[in-house]
Amino acid sequence: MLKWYQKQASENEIVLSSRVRLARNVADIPFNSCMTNEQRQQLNQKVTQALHNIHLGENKLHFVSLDSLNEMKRCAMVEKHIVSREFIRYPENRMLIISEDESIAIMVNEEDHLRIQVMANGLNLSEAYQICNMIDDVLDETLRYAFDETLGYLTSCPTNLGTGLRASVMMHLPALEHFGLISRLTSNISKLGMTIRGTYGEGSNVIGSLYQISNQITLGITEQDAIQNLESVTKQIIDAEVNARENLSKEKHRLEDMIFRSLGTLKYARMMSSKDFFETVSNLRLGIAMGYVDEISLITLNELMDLTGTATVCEQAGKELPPIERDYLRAKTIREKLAVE
Amino acid sequence: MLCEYCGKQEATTVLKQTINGKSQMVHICSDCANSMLLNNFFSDFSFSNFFGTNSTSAIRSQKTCDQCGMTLEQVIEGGKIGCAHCYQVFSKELGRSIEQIHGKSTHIGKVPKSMNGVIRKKNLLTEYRVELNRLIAQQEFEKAAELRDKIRDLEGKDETSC
Repeated sequence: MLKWYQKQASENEIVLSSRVRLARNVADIPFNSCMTNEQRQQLNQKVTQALHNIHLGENKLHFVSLDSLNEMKRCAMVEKHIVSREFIRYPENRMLIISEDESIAIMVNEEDHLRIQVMANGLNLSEAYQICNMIDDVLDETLRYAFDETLGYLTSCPTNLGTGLRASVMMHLPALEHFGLISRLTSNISKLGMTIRGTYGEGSNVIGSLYQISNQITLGITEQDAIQNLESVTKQIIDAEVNARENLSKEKHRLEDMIFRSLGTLKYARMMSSKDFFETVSNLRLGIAMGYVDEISLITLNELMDLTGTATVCEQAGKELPPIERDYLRAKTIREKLAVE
Repeated sequence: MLCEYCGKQEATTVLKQTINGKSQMVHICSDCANSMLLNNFFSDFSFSNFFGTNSTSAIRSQKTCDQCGMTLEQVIEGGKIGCAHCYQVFSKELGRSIEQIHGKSTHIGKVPKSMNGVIRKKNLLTEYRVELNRLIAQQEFEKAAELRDKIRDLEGKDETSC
């Protein structure tokens, strides 16, 4: 079965992925900071039972106890944005429910009892929300959620109160970044109740010109409005990036040189650090989107990003590797993938 | 002296704020002091300049949630709530922070299925009562009596059957 990031999608030249997650807690069980291990185990069982009869067709769910995975595997899942860093910090009694195509990930016993997350390729927030909402309805049949008429779904942190919904898009914004327009963008979207974050969410750095944009407000707004607002802001940012790219193409020779040097590096390098990879792949993504390169598809780049994270490379080797070995193996994986094209 | 922040209660705490060597005194009540302190932990609204390390512990309440045992001080320090019941116990202290984070204080989104009946009934009763007042004001007593019976029926009804 194809993974979610291998599927064709709209607007995927600038928007890499869309993500929707719902934070939920079960009434009558204390929140995570006050839970006992017995309560965590009971919750795992309750959720497993609640999802027993869910119909997702071929995209079936797998129930994984987090401490049954080794640390490399757990870190690889953070690199792939399947789980949060917070979730793998204390793996005991945590459960991950993941679908065959990895688009659905339900974290049990995260900061909240449940974090229901759905990912989709390109700009596809509504579809991601529909699936999230359907899973939430199924869980709601048997679990009694902590809910207050005024405050909505009650969450461990008041920043998620109300809908408990966080929607985000991962955008590739090299041209806006090149012209120094990100800080203006950041201040503009914060006025609209949204926020711009680094590649791996809160507190992370930006790598390869990848920015996460998400809604900040969850109380006093409906799920549909939050999604629509983010979608329309995303479309405006797409327009701004397209304009900036047009300006960038005025320096055609320099741009072409940058793109093809990066392609050369990716195709022939024998050592590739994670930083080099993100920079070169960002240039190549720009080259593909602007029509300079047509021998490689954007989906191949998505696959490459999935295969080359530090923990993922070690996982492939089956052991922890020193940086030199890791960079060598990463370069080899990239060469092999691009050679097939 | 009344609180300079809410203007409603007697000021019990004096805060000294120093910016670029310039000091300013602010007189506030204990409720405002508590909510300002909470703001630090849940959002970017920083009132940290108002509080020195000694004054913070002095104004922190020893209020405790009777279900999970979480104290207000732990909530402030950890930035996390202990259980659903904490939201009721600390509602006064959390209220203003929540409104400042979200700009709103009332949920308008999805409702769990189990709550549907309760909320629908409440909304319907509010609607009927407004209509009842309008009918009485317009001296349409016959219609008002019918509506009053309807309200009585609804009030006596099992919530799940709405």
